[in-house]
Amino acid sequence: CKQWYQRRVREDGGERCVAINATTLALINAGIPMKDYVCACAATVYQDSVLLDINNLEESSRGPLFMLAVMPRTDSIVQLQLDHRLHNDHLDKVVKETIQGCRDIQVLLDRQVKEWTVEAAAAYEIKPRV
Amino acid sequence: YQRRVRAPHKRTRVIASQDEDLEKHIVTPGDVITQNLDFMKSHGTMLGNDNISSTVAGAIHKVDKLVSVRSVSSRYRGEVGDIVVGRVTEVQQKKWKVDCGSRLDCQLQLSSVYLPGNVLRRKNLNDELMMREYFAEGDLICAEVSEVGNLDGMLKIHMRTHEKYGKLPEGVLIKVPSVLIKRSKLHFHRLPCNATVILGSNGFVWVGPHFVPDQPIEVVSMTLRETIARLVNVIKALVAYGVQLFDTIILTGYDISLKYKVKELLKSEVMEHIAQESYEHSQHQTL
Repeated sequence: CKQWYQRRVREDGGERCVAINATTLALINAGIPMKDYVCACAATVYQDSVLLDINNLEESSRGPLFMLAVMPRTDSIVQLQLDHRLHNDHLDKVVKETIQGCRDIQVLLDRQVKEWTVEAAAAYEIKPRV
Repeated sequence: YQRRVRAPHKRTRVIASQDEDLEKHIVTPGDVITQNLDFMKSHGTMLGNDNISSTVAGAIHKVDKLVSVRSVSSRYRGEVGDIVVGRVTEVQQKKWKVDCGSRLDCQLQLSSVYLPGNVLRRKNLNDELMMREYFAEGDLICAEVSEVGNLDGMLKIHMRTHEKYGKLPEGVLIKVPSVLIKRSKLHFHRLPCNATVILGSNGFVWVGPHFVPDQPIEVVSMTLRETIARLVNVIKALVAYGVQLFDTIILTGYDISLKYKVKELLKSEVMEHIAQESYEHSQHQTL
């Protein structure tokens, strides 16, 4: 059984998403085998348009708070959370946009993980063999 | 009570990558390694949708038809002949269970231990009942790996000679990523500054006074405690910047650190300075 804990330095909305993204990075850092990244992104709907990666101000509006945790390479949804009410007409649009948001986050996370891995492989003398 | 949070200090590794090809063969979890399903999958890989993909962050390793990913961070796996430092977790019927930082606790058999007085003899019922007198739960021991289990990877450790292996007296234990312990002939170092450093291959590093197993040590003096604390901070600095540990680099780091006070060694800038200079020094020495 493992334990991990996170420390908040600054908060501006999206804590649940940050917690999930940070945990993914921590697990990769620890070398625990994973099928794929788990990336999370939150969205809301305001006047018929979808707002991604909402901050504190947008969260405190009375619009829906929709959070998805997704495994980006297979687009499989791991967790879905909805607070307040979301109209059915908006559902497809929000899901599609949020999945795209999670894919974008995965690209950003992957960039950093690759950079870290390259540095660590050079330092620990782990040489690839192809 | 309130803890002051320091702003995160970007840690750049002291050793920069010099190989451009390295980047092409680095994969992260979920990355596709090959579309060819003929390969046999080994550590760090899995069958994705019509491809073989990676489950860890590391470097691809292909040998003939076997493909695996060498992870950059993983638990200590263990090899026969490694010297490990571990903490006793359980006292069982004829063996002790020792935590070595690997997936399973290591096993130390009663039959592979020297009794006090440098005696190796067949253990009888009396010895079995007195097991707790030798090593109790929570004791730190230093031993050598004798066997690696085939199915589950459980390590069996033993104490081959009396002078080096045994219960460790008062000292400091630092847990370090096992990758950072450089493989060498000697892991047990008696440093000229009156301290002993044991670099366990499992990443457990013990720093303490000179000792002979089973003989009582005198009270550790204040200057020796400072030396030990300084060594501990130097090791922590080297580890924080990804520098591999071996005896000469620890001594170099110790000499460089002498101009700072022991507690100043905990600051990020000082740690970076020590790691950088120690690494450069060791590079010059090998050239």
